[in-house]
Amino acid sequence: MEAKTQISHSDEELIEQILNGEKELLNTLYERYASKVYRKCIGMTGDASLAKDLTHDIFIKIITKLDTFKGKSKFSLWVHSITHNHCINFLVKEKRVQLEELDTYKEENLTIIDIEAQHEELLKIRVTELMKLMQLLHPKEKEILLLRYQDELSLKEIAETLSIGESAAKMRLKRGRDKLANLLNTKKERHE
Amino acid sequence: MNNNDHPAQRKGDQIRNNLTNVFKEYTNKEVPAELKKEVFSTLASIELAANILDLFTVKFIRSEAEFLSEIVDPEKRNEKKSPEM
Repeated sequence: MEAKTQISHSDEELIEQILNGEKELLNTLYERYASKVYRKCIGMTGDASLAKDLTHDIFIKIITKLDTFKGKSKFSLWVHSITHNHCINFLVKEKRVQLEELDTYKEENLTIIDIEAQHEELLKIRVTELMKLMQLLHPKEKEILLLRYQDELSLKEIAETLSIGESAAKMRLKRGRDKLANLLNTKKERHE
Repeated sequence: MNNNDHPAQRKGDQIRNNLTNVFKEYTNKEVPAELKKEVFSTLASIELAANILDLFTVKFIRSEAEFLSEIVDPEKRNEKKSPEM
């Protein structure tokens, strides 16, 4: 009965009660977000063990910084943002990836409909292929594809999560899709 | 003309649906059961460390200040000993 009451809390109510001292509600917060954070870490790293360690650290960060959540955006986007920043920082540190090069992608006058209608070959991509190709993408390319296709966020929500403009989010999505499609085509050509 | 009837929209929706399914399947893994215990154990350690730090900084300094003020100001000590009526 008690569990039912806890599940009915909105995120914002839950946070308010936790900050007012109801620490047992941290369990509800964990249950609500653990698989989302873990799956995002799997997507970013492709490694279950690493994803577990990252999820641990991200939860510690979320809970210890809970009082800094101002409620200006949805709590779920705040969690997304912390998760992505943590994963990106980890990957950059580990693989010494330079992030600057991505931001030079040329802006084109395309709508999201135009961008998502490109690369018909992505209609046939399989999970096993995606698993391999994701390892070849830049962390920021992985990130944008995960936000759009795993979390199903709108461009506006993606922009908010990444603290960039909608136009930049759109071009970054285009770049991620282009790269994924190119890698898929190259892989297929090699096998033919 | 409905937006969904637009060829680019329709094709885009199909590709997006396929990518969404593939991405969800790719990341569809269960959270390790032991992770929850590890997270809450780390939080308990952090809380304990914070309490100890508080004990040796804020609380220690406060009690030291109270002690010193009683030495410097004996009246205050007397006030404390004889509670207000």
